[in-house]
Amino acid sequence: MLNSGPVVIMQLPEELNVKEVDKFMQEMGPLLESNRPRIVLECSQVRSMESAGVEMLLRCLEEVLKRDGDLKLAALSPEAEVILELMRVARVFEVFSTSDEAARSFNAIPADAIPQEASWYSTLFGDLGALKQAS
Amino acid sequence: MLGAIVIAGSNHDESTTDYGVASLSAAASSDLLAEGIASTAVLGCSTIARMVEAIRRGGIDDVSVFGERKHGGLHAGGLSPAGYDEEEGWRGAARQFGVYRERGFEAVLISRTVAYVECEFATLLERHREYGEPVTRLFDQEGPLDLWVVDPNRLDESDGLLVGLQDAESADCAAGGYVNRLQSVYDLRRLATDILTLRCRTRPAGVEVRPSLWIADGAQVARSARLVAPAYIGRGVKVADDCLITRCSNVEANSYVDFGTAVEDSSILPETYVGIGLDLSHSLVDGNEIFNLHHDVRLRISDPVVLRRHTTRARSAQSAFERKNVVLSTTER
Repeated sequence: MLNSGPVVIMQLPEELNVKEVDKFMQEMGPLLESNRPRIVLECSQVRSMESAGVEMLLRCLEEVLKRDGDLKLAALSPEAEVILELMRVARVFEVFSTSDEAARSFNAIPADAIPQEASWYSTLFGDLGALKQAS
Repeated sequence: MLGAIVIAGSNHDESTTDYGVASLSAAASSDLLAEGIASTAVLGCSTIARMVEAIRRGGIDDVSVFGERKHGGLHAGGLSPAGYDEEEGWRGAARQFGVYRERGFEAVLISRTVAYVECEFATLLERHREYGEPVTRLFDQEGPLDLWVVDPNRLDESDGLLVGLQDAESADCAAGGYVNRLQSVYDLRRLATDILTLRCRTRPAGVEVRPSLWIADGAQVARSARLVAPAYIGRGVKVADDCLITRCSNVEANSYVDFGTAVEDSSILPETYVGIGLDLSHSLVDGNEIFNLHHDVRLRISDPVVLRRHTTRARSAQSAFERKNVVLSTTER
């Protein structure tokens, strides 16, 4: 999943009001409809954000998750950070300090690809399956 | 006989720096600061009102307050007009000073209220008599404060009262008590915290319903709202269901905190509406303006459902709140 397509980095406008949200969504539309979209929204320019802007971010996240993709935020301006905290959505998104860092995070090794070490109890008590069979 | 003159100082006035009077640096562009922090109600009472009360407690009954209101409306908390013309204030003070001199007053205490200062005024007057200078000025570790004790017969005020005070031979007297220079919104927030945690002598205007939890008259708190001390709920404030007010937060007069919002380590200034389901922390809110002290950011929120000035008309439209909720007021408690 994680290596399915390119990571798209998009810059959010300075003001995320209803008008700007409409414009931005027109650009985002095709991207959201692609297979497994991987998007980074760069927020360093954001100076103000209305509730329409927050709603847009949540809608985008919902759409990409539906298509097995992900959306991450990067370089949050203090203004964006204050608004996202105020509206209780800061914790919904994965946030990175730079967009490069956010893009790289898509290429991290997926958890299921990491060979799992034997759990601590198997070294203590041996193979539980074998024990069950023996009983 | 002793008299006192209190001039409402506006921190933003750059012209006053020519006379070496304390001036404002941080966030000077803010409307809140332009109106003068001293006139802003903190825990139900403005700094000017607190100063007047302290002076009276110090045994000076004749207290005159000067400062013309620039624009209409009063902030909550009695003596707290929204904005002053300081120059006009000084002109009025000079006239009153002349009256005190004619009436043969022994000493006049002059306070340009920018900082909040707690001192023993009786001791200050005693020191002034001991030093024998025409003027005795109060100091703290950071330098001079705008508070003088003056011998009316020995002050040359031909170039204006303020210039006279600056040019006169003066003795210094250390302010022994609590001083907050109120130079920024950080100081305003600190004043609220210091009052609630009893770091200074002044107390919130209201009733202490539980230890360190103060509620003023006419406040309405929904039953499912949680108030965690120390906290202050001002006169006519409404706190809706499922709200949380905690960690030295103060909600000033006639403000409205709407459903499910958490207010933590924050000050909500008078007549402010705070919307539904928000997380307000480490901030100071005045109408639709928010100062986040953690991020050092000042924002104007254009979305009225989030933050706005809570007008009288908006208040009357909230009858639904009153109908639906069983509310407690301080009188019921």
